[in-house]
Amino acid sequence: MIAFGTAYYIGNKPGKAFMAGFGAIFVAWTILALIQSLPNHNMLAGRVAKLMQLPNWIVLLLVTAFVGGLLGGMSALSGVLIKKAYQKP
Amino acid sequence: MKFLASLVFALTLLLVWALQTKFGDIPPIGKFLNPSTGFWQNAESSDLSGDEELHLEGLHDKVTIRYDERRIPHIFANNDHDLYYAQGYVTAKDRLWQLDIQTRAAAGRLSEVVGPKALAVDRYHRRIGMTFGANNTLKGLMKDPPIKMMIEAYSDGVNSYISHLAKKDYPIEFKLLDYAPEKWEYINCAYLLKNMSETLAWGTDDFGMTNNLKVFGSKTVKDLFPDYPFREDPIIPEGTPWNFKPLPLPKPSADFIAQITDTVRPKEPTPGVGSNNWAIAGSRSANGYPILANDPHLNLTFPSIWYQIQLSSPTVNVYGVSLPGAPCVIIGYNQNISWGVTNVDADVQDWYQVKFKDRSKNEYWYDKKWAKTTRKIEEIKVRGQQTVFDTVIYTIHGPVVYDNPGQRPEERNNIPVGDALRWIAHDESDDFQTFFLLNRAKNYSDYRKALTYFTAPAQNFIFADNEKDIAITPNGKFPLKFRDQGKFIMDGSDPANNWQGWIPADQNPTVKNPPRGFVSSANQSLTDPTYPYYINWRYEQYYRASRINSKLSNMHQATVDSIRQMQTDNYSTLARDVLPAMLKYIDPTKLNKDQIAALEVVKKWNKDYDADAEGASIFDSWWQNFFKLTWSDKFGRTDIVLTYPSFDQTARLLITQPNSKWFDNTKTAYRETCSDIVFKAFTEAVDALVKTNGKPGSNWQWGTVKETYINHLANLPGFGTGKFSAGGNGNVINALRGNTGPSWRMVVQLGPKVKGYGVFPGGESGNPGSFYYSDMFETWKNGKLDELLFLQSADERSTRIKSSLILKNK
Repeated sequence: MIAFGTAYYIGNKPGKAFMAGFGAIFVAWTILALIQSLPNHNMLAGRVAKLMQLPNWIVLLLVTAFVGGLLGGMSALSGVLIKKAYQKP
Repeated sequence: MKFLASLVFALTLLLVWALQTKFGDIPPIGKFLNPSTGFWQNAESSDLSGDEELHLEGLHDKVTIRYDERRIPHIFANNDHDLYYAQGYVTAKDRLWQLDIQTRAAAGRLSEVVGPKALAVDRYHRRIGMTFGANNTLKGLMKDPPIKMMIEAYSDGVNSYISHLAKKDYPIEFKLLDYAPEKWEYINCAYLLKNMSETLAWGTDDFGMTNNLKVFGSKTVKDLFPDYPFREDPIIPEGTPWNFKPLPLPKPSADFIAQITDTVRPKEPTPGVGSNNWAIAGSRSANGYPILANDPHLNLTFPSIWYQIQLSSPTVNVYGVSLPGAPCVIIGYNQNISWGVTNVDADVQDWYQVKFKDRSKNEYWYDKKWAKTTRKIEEIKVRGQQTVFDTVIYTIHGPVVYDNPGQRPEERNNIPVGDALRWIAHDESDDFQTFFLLNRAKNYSDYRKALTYFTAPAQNFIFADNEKDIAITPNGKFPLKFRDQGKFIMDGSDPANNWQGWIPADQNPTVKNPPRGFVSSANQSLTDPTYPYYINWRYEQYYRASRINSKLSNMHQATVDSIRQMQTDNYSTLARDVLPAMLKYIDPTKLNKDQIAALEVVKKWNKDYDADAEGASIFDSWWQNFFKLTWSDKFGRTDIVLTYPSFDQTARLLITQPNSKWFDNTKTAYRETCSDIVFKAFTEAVDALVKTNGKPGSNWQWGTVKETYINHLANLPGFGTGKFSAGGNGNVINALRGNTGPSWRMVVQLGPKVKGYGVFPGGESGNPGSFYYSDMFETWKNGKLDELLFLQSADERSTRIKSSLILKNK
């Protein structure tokens, strides 16, 4: 939602919007996940990685960040494209 | 441009939806991975949070809960209502998902959450009458005012926790399966009892035995499946007098043997599901007071089926293990007494063949006339699909579990089609009263009174107290039967086959302070053949019991440690009994090099199933193979299912009848003898081990050959222990094999200050993200016990108290 809104109001180029949206959420989710996981010594992340057949918790963290980023990027892209579609030329 | 924008927007919405939705078994990825709401939130910090104070509606007064270094809660309440409220609350706090899923399993409501793949098991649980039984038991519980109060308070405590739970704090399994915890109902406490009955009082071999009669005739059945084993060491010592006048037994009916059931496979009770308990008198202990020990054998899971707890109020102060879903302590001790349980495995599950009048099945033949059936419609909600309605036909005996072959799925071949089930778990009962009273018991007569309320699953209740009494009672509600009633399927139209009454509770077998100075049980025969009533024709074999009694007979000046070491004893009575006889038949001149090496190893083996024992692997494969070669050509038929004879009977033939016709393989023209079979079993077993584990050597160690592991309750990969090396086997005291074994080990030293020791493989928390999820596993694996913290008041100081939780009324 935030990515969409931000990109809608201030974004202009679709490619950049996507990257910005992707990057923002990628970083945000990585930090939020580490805040939970580090005091846990990454123990749960290790277990969930095994559950999801990933080699280790770091890959899981990357997957998490990527999924978040994808959501962020797509939302930002939508925001920009819709704005452009309805702009007066 | 507009089109592209709309397309991307639509794709985004699709992506958002897809990431929030569960597909088959895959959880909603976006929700699950989101660090604010998903599994990352379940990662517990290693910094233990400090003291906490909560205000909860429904409490009458303040409750103080102390947590020790294992995060075991010690609850101090000012009245019993608050005590059980708090027990419900802390249990939910640590084991919420376990509470939910075990209720759903018993109630046949798994499909609601996991979809159609659970439909078959849900229908099965509905059709065997789990809900029927839970409703009846609940009636019994709610008729008893203190029990009613306890169940309501416990449920309020659980619901209090649930109602304050934020989505991000749901246990990880809820997130994986994408559903929310629901309100806890009173009947769920009854479902827990049904779960225990299904585990411990289910799974007889009536069909296999009925087929044995058909195929081999009654003379052979009497010979190979006798009502008392070849070797035995009964729970109530031989020669103990019965101090009562027994009721007359009912007369046997003119039995009609079932014609059907050619495709039936009997479901034997899970091997390894049994237990040990024993108590020594003060005369055998170092401090002059009794010592009591118990280790129940069940499926090992994370989280454990048990939850350690201390419960204290003005009426009680007790420590032990509880079952999540039920109030009270189930196995434990207080300042005066200690008690424990092992399974009896009485025959309280019988099948009656039903003769329906016609295809409508509205009537059946009973007591020389047509009686009407009733129908119960089970509504099974299925996630992602339409609700399934299943109609179950009920007769006077109970439900007809499958009334036509089309209803019965492949994996339920153990249930005969067209037969009604009479099961003790269907009855009204007040089993919690037993534990309510045991928790508060002060002496032997309190113990005896408590037992009178117990219905099922029947247990060998062991007891010891500070007045230096020890006792054991195989106890439950036992139907008054004629000899062998229920050993086979019965004719449901003849009332003479019904359960005619009950054995009076005070006439259940029992012994107090026997001359030999100890009591014990390991699921073996309850008594010698002089006991006037019939409870079952067969029990667990005597191997563990014999070893336990042998060790206890030689015990003097015993300490807690002497007992602890006994609990992990790996000595095999079976090997002692049969190995010398088997070795006689091995001619070393006919062996190859590997087989000679293996022979030397097993000859020198000390009969301990230790993790590093190579001889154990050789003997075990050899014996199992010998058993199979002896019987499978006769009993392993695929066209009709037959119950195999026991190890005990096999040993009897080996030792006393080596020329028995049973050793002949009927599929070959040559007439084999015991010698041939023992020899063939040995060479085959060795060859198989060479194939899977290489040449005889360290790869043959028992801990490597035996697969031992503990899985998460839902078998989620990564959430268990994986395979580990361990000693033990089903027939030794340390009955650990596969994923069943000692689910709790406890030793209690009675005395002026009672001291308890115990451990279970797992942790108090059901959260895989918690440091208390499996912290006790290593201690248990190494055969050690924790010293249990038994506080005497809320104000008692101890360095072992790490944090406190204060609950107050809102």
